[in-house]
Amino acid sequence: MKQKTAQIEKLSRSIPAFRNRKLISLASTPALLLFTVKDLLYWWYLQMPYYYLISLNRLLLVADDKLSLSALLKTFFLPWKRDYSALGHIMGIIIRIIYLPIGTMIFLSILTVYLLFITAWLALPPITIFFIATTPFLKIFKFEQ
Amino acid sequence: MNNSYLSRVVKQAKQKTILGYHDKRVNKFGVMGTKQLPILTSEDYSTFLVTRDHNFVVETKQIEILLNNYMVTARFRKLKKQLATILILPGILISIGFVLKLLGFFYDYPTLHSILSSRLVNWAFWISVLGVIISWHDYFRLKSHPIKLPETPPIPEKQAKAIKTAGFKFARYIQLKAFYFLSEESQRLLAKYYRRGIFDTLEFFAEILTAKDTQRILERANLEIDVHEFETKSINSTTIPDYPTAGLRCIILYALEDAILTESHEIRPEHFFSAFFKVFPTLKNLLNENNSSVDLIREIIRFFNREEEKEKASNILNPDTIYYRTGGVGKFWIYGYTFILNKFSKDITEKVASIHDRFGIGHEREIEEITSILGRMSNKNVLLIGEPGVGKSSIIKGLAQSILAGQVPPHLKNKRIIQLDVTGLLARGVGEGNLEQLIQKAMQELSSAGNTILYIDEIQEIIPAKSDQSGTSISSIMLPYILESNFPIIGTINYADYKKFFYSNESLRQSFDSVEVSPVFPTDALEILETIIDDLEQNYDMYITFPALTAAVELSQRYISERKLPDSAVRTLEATCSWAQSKGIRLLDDEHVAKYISIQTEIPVDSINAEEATKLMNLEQNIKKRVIGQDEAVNKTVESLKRARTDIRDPNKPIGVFLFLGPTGVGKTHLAKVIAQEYFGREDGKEDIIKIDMSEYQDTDSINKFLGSYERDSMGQSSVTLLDKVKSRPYSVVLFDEIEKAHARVLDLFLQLFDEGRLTSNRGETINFTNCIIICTSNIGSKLLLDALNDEKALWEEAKNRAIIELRQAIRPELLNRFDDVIVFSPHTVENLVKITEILLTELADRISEKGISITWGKPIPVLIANKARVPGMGARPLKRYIQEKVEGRLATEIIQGSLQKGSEIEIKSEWLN
Repeated sequence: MKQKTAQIEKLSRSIPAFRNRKLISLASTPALLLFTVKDLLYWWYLQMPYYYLISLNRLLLVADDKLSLSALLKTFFLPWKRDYSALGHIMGIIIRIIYLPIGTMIFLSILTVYLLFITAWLALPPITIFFIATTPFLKIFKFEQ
Repeated sequence: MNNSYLSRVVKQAKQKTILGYHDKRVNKFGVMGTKQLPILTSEDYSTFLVTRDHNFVVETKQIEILLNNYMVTARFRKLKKQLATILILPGILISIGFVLKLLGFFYDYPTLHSILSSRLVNWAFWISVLGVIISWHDYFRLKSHPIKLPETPPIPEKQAKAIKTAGFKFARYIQLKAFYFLSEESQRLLAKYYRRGIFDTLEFFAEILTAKDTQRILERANLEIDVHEFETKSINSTTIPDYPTAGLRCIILYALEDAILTESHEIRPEHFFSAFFKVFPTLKNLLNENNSSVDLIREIIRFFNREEEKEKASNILNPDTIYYRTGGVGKFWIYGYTFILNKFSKDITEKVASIHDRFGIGHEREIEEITSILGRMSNKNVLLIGEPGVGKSSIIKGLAQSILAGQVPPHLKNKRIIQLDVTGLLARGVGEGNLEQLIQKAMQELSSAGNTILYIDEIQEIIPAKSDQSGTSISSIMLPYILESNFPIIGTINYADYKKFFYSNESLRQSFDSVEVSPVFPTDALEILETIIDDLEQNYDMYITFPALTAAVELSQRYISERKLPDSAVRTLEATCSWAQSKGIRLLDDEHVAKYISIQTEIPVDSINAEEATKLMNLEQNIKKRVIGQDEAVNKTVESLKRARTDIRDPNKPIGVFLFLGPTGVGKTHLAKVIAQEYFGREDGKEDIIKIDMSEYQDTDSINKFLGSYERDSMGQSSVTLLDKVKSRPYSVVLFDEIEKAHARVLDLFLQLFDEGRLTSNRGETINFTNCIIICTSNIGSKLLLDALNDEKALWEEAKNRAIIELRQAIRPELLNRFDDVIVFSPHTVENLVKITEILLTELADRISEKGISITWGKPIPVLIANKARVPGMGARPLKRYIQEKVEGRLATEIIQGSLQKGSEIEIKSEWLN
């Protein structure tokens, strides 16, 4: 049963129409407008953030692979190119100590930029509504000096 | 040409869907037949589709709401789009203005400066942003969250059987509404042709037919269906009628089934298109007339889907595709150097990472087995054993892909597969003067690298055969490393070489775990061919249709026995492309593949044209003209030949297996030769008849002689056996003469040969006899038959039965039982001998006419020859000798004397026969 519920959840994530499990008629204009607004909000605030998080996960996976961060961390104490001499060990640690902070910074930058983008995405509709609403209609034609 | 190719190719595909119906009046559930699907328009019935985990349903009311909603929302969306565009336009201008203002362009234009700073402009800007939000939602909604059908693995056979016998158990399925999976375009088209509760099926079909996606399917299928020819093809509103909304339930479900079967994510118009061929007999007939099938259309849709997936996979940031981890910048810091090895090896993993095709198709079991062996603590070497062309190299690439995708246990993650270039190694070793040292260095590198799997293709290349062993063997230098198992090694070899090289080397054999690689199924071979279509089309500048692919799979499997699927199919297709290019052909279809195979193998595999059909129809008469007095034998053999040519026979058995019984000279061997000439098309028939005298296989040791040996003689040659002959000419008449004289153990081999149509040689090769006609002859009971010759008919029948009884005593029943027919040849009467004489004289006349001399004879001459030459119990042979002596001898003398010259005419005189 749990498995079934999980499958339904998985499905509902991938199919936007799934929230409309009961198909309603959109023959009247108010119903149509209400549906459009609900559909936009559902997509903007539920589906897209989830989509962006999945994309972020993939982006970080690619970044980690290209930058070899987790691979280098896991093998932190392994010598440079498996040269088991003292020099190999020292080289391995030195290079990792130099490289890992640079790699981590690039990684974190990507993460930050992406998170900022998601935040902006979430904030855009209320900001837009706010600015439209707070611009006093009567003062519209008053030019600033 | 033959639409059964694909049916045979896809028949092994596992069942993924079951269509069911519910009779609400009696509350009965049942499974729908698959041959022709009905459109149920009554609300008393409902239909549903089950997969392994899901039950898809659709209701009339839902369809009505959906289509009405679509019509309303379509108009609304259009309006919304126009409005959003209008809102965006001022925003673009304002944005440009802001930029220019920031850059100081408007210092000289204070009015513009002021306008841009006004609240009105600010307000307009934010209105435009709202327009952007609306437009983006409209544009990106389906792209970010496309409709996705759930995964549908095959229904286990047990479950499918239980449904058919005990009915559906709905509690086990997740119920889904089918219409949720309709694509935007499908909804648009359904809504377009749905008016006041009636669906215009014909117009809907006509529009789908002209759609771009359908046209490309038809092109690949080499099919032409023109909307303007609908009336002439009986495609009208009677054959494809309008349906009420209830009928749409079935149409949507059938399209959904096609979407599932074609591995699509949503129900697109082309799924309606393919589903219609299952529903309307007129359309089905249309496909049959064009030698096509629904299976072919489905396969093409599947192909286009895979192509789309491949394109998506090229974007590494697409979260819906598998990401192949390459290791990144630090890859070479973690693992050891392989500087020396790199000089004579290539990195398979790196190569595979850049290709988005799928490797190891049809070899999932083998890849799993290798993965498990490679994960062991010790003895982690694998030897892939399989016939040439079964896809051993593809398995390695498939394994590399699994490693890159991370779909392997932790111990295999980050491993790379390095392929050793044995020729390069030897060349370098000889160049540097110390092969042993070079190998040792390379092996040490591999040991310390820590992430490598060594792959040696054709591993026998490093193991010299004992008979011609010279110098240092690479395997002997590598053996300590192989035994230590510091790094895994994967080798590939075929059965014959495995027997030859590994049986004699116990330590080497023990150090590898064998994984047997079987040929892939035709469905997998077809999928592999689909992956190379693009390359072939670009390389040979032609368009390859799907019938060509299916023909390549089917025909290569049947007629190219020396290589196995998938390689045989790939090579056939490539070679056909090359041949077609030289002939100026730009569109490759199944006829071309068949033609090419016919040319290559000299087997008439191309379609039966009118001329050949006439030939087949007249085959019996033609053979009877040349084989006198053996009508029963001729009838039975011709029947099996007709079955073979029309593909009705069992493809896993020889074309026919006959035992010809009768005294010498009655025409047993002659009939075999005539069959070879008449059916296999050779003029002389010599090449297509393989005659084996079974008296040469009388002792126990002869079994080795029969199955061939890999031992070579002092001249380095191995003898050519029956198996070699059949291997080189798989489409022949094989004549085993006097089988009763062979040793019983040799006859035991015939059990497998007659039953399965194959034999395995001592070299480990499997030889295919399924395209052979096997004829065994025996003289058992000859005396009985001869004695009955001059007696009455009743006695002849009795003699025949007694001969058969004698045969049963001499040959084991299990062998006798495997013959398609035991045919008793009757001894020749004088009338038959006269006819045979006429044939022999005609043949002589034909031969001599080549020298420009014509020869005639009177009616009494054949009678005279037959009577004079006849020796009771010796059949027709004495006639030949007599004609040679009396007629040919006389003609030869006259030619030498010069009395017979070109243009002369001579009559055979009765004096010559004295």
